[in-house]
Formats: sequence, C-alpha cells, structure tokens
Amino acid sequence: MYQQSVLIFTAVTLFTLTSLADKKSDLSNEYTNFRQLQTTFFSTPVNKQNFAAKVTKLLSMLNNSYDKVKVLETGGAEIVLSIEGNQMAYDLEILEPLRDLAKAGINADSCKEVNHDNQMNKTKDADVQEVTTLLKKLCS
Amino acid sequence: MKQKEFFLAVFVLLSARISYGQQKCISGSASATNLIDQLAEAKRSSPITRLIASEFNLQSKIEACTSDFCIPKTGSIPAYAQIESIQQIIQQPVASKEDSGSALLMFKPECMAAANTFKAATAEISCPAGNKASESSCINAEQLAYQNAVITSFANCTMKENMLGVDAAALFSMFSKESGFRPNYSYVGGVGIGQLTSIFVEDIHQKHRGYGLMKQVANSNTPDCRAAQLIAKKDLNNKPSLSDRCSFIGTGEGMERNIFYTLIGMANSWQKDIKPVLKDYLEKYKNDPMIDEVKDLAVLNAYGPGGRAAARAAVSRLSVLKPEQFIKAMKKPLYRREGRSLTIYTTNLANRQNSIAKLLPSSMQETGAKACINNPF
Repeated sequence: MYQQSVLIFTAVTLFTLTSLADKKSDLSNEYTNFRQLQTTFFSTPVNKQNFAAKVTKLLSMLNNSYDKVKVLETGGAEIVLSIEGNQMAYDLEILEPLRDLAKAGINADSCKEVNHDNQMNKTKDADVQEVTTLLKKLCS
Repeated sequence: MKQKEFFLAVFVLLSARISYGQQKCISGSASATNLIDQLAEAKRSSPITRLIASEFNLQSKIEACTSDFCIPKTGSIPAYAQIESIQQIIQQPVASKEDSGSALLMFKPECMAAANTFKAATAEISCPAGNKASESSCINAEQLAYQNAVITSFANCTMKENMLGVDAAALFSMFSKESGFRPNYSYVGGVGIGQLTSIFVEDIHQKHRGYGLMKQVANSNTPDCRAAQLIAKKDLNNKPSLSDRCSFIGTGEGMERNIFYTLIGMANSWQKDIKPVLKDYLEKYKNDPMIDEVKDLAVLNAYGPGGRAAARAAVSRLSVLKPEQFIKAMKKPLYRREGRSLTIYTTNLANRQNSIAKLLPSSMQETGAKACINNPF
C-alpha cells in the first residue's frame, strides 16, 4: 500500500513538473515568435502606401500569438500571468501609435497626435526607438 | 518590533510637533523662510490664494497663527497642550462644515505632517529667482494647511465636473510619494509637488488629450471651480513651460498650477488611457465593493515613471483576475522581461504608505491612506 502511494505520488510529481517545463518552453517559444514578427516588420521596407496594410497584418499576427500565451496562462487550475505575456501586452501598447496612424491615415494632424502618444510611451525603460524612426519616416 | 515601531512613531510625531512649536517647521530649516514668505505675499497679492483661503476659512486661521498664540518667542518651548491646540486650529474647518461655513479640508494634518518628514534625494528650488536653494525650506502647519486647501479645492472642482479618476486616498498616496508635500522639490525628472514632467504638461495641452478638460474647467459654472478656473483660463491663452520651474513651484500661482495640472493630468489619463482598457471589467464588477480601489490603482500606476504603455498593459493583464486579486497584484511587481515591472509605481506607493502608517497612531494604520482622509468624495 505504501509502495503504491509512493509510486502514484512520484508519477504525479513527474507529470506536473514535465507539464510545467513544457508550458514554460511553450511560453518562451511563443514569445520568440512574437519578437521575431516585430523584428521582421521593422527590418522590411515600409512606405506610406503599404504601411496601413503591413501594420494591420503585423498586429493581427502579434495578437494571435498573444492569444496563444493567454490560453497557456489560463489553461491550468489557476491563472498564472507569465513574464512573456506581460512583455507581449507591453510591446503591443508600444506599437499602438502605429495602429492609430494606420487607422487614421497619414496626415499632418494624425502624425502630430501619434508622435505625441509615442512620446508618452517613452520612459527610461521603454524602447520606442523603432516606432519613433518609422513615424519619422512616414510623417516627413 | 511593534514596540520599537510604536516608540519611533511617537518620537517622530512629537519631534514634528515640538519642532513646529520651536521653529514652526515640520520639515526643513527654520532659517529658510522662502515658502513662508511666499505664502504671506500670496495672501496679499494672489487672487488664487485669496480665493482658496477664503473658501476654506484659512485667512483668519493663518492670521491667527501668525499672532501671539502660534508663534512662541524665540527660545521658548510651548506646552504640549498649546501645540495640541494648534493642531485643533488646523483641524477646525474639518469639524463642522455647517458651523464654520467653510469647506472641508481633504487630508488629515497629522498624515500630511508624517508624509512631510520623508526626504527625497533631489534639489529644492527657491522662487521667484528659480535658483537652487542652499538649505531645505521650512514647511510649517500653515503651509500644509494651504496645500491641503488647494488640493481640496481643485479636487472638488474636477469631481463636480465628473472628470477626476481617483479618490482622496489615492491623491494622498500620490502626493506623499511624489514630494511628501514639499512643493519646491525639482530635478530633471520632475518639478514641484506633483513632480510634473514636460511631456505630462504637454499632454494636457494637446487637442486630442487633455485640452478638452482644461477648457471644461475654464468654462465651468461650478462654484467649486472658481480658483482652478483662474489658472485654466490663463493657461489656455498662454501655455506655461515647465522649463520656467517657478511657474510650477512658486506659491500664489505656481504650486497651485502644479496641483491643478496633476489632477487634470490624472483625469486625462483616466479618460484617455485607462478607462478604455478597463471598461468591460468595470461593467462586469460594478457591484464589487473593491472596484473603486481597482480604478484608483490603475490610474495611479499611469501617473508613475513606468509610463502610459506599462500602465495600460498592467490593467489589460490583471483584468483576468477578480478585484481582490487585481488589487493585491497591483501592489506587487508585475514583471516583464529583463526584470522590469509593469506596476513599479503602485508597488512603490504601497511601500511608502506602509512607512507613513508606522508614524501614525495604530488606529490609523490598518486602513492605510484611507485613514488620512477627512472628506472622502
């Protein structure tokens, strides 16, 4: 009876640890994918004509990726907010001025507004350089 | 440990009171009368100060406090009972709105005094010259009462105009953390009582952001907005620059502007940044008794150095939790990559409130900043 209990306990512990490790790995992979999508976007030429379509597509893919992380986070017995998920939510906020510019269309007023909003996101910890550079190019 | 904290609290409170009696200073050096002189001048010449002092019945109390009762002759130490009476004088408007005919002050003076004892590693500016002060300015009970009145006046205005995003306890936490009610703190990262930054001031003047709120106050028919209106109307015509630091520090208009912009900025942040993200959550938990604290913490977090993106991301992330868990999570670091947190400010605020609470009577310690409020709106 004792041996049986030990065996069950060991099996459950191993299963739980393996699941946690898998989950952590899935989260990490999904964030790598999320980050790669952004890197690719910022390294590909974007102009005033194709900007809105490209940004809309990027944000759709990023949100899909973030949704997968949210499923992983809420799939267990309790909700565990991950560092990767927190970072994704933050990155999406940093990209918001691009989303707003794509929605509003590129003109003097919208450029002024999104440039300001981008500055509002700027802190010593926030890297808004990629967004700043792209806005400068599109709004010039 | 509890005994140690108790004696520390008693020591600090007594020190504050005795130093007030001896030197009239709750913090700062008795010989640095810059702020006291400014307030005296503002009472004579600033329409904003005169209006607020009249609204809160401070004029007579301030005058009473400069008479023989409040200022002991040099070297004399007033009896503890006398000092207690000074506290009572400060608190008189709180006692009965109907009896005094004056408006209620929002914060309890003992809490402001406790918050005022915390020092920041930053410079103090001496106005109107705008140069760095050589010693820390004296802050006395009269100074704190006046700051209390300005905050109350402008908060009442923004509340009546349905724009303020946070309650009085949240405002107390924020001002305690930002400056500890030392209005002339200034460095590159923040100016004055609310530690305003250039982008924050600029945000209030942007057409798609805070401009509408400024205009609303300028055009308000609410009697509570009369003092705030003087600043709003002036600034809509001539936008002030934070590089002129005294226009956000000097008593009579600057310190008052700083408080006004802090409140308008928070309202702006609530309406433009936080409310859109929190809308469904507020609806879902509208009957939860903790929902207002959720809202307060969300707005406060947006005020801090983490910035707008972090504040919105934090709210978005924590919206999967119930209000009680949401609140707990906001008071702890919510890490993103590289050890950075989305809730750096609310974590810091919670820590500061715990430190202030240790200086207050035990009866006030359990409810944190809420215990420091006379006039919860």
